[in-house]
Amino acid sequence: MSGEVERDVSGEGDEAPGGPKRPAKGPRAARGPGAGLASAVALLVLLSMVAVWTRC
Amino acid sequence: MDQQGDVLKVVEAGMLAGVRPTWTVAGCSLAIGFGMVPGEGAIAWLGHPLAMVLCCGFAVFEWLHARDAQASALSALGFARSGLAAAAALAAVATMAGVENVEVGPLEMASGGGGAALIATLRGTIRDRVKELAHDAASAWVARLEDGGFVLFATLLFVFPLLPLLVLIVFAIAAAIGFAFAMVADRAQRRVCGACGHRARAEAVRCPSCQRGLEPKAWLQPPPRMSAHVEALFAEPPKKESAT
Repeated sequence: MSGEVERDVSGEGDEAPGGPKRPAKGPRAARGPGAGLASAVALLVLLSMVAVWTRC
Repeated sequence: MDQQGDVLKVVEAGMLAGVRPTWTVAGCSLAIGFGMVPGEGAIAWLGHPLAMVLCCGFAVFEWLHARDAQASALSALGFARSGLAAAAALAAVATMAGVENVEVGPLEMASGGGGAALIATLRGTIRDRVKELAHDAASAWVARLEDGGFVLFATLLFVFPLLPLLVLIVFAIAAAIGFAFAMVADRAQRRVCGACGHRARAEAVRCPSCQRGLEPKAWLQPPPRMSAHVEALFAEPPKKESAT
């Protein structure tokens, strides 16, 4: 398309003089699915132990 | 009910704190304060009127907090939530042990507290995933689901203690399967940074390892189905209704 302005998506042009900036994070970097899988498996193991222990 | 069923009830009361820790403690405090439960030993202070007011205040705060997407996004509170859940679980285990007249040992405490901490961590990760997919709009709905789950769990606990355990097991299996699929999808979508070789997420603008700028592939290359739909919209002019 004519007249199209190329966007700078790399972010290389806005570095501070003192070096590269730290990545802008939101209020919290979301935990990945690995953390969810680990906690779900740990909970499953604990619940199974409780079920066996209480002889359900 | 037999002794094992009573022990299960005590442990599940602790796990209940994983969903809404302050509600659980407020329930214990009110039950002890109004004399429905014998509050003895270390938990006797929960029956003090000042403790009852404070516990109810914290419960209202948690109810509001769960609906505030910005407040619930603070990272420090993630750790605090699991610790708070474990602490609340110990109070709930001790209170329920008084109701059921069960001797509480380290195994009951560890099961209740550990279960509550794990449930708190798991619901935190699920909230993160839901917010990633549906943004902040989903926070209120997740909070409502959790409220409903808490009330249902607390009711079933007294009526049929085996059912909450089975529901939790099914929930944990479903969560494990869901997160396993999410992990596979996440790995498949990552791409290698040309500078340092770090596998960054598709939508990353910068490499989290070397800070080098990355081309946001996800923005420029939408999913094939979506791009095909957009191309189809632009390619064909809107059909005019034929004059009869």
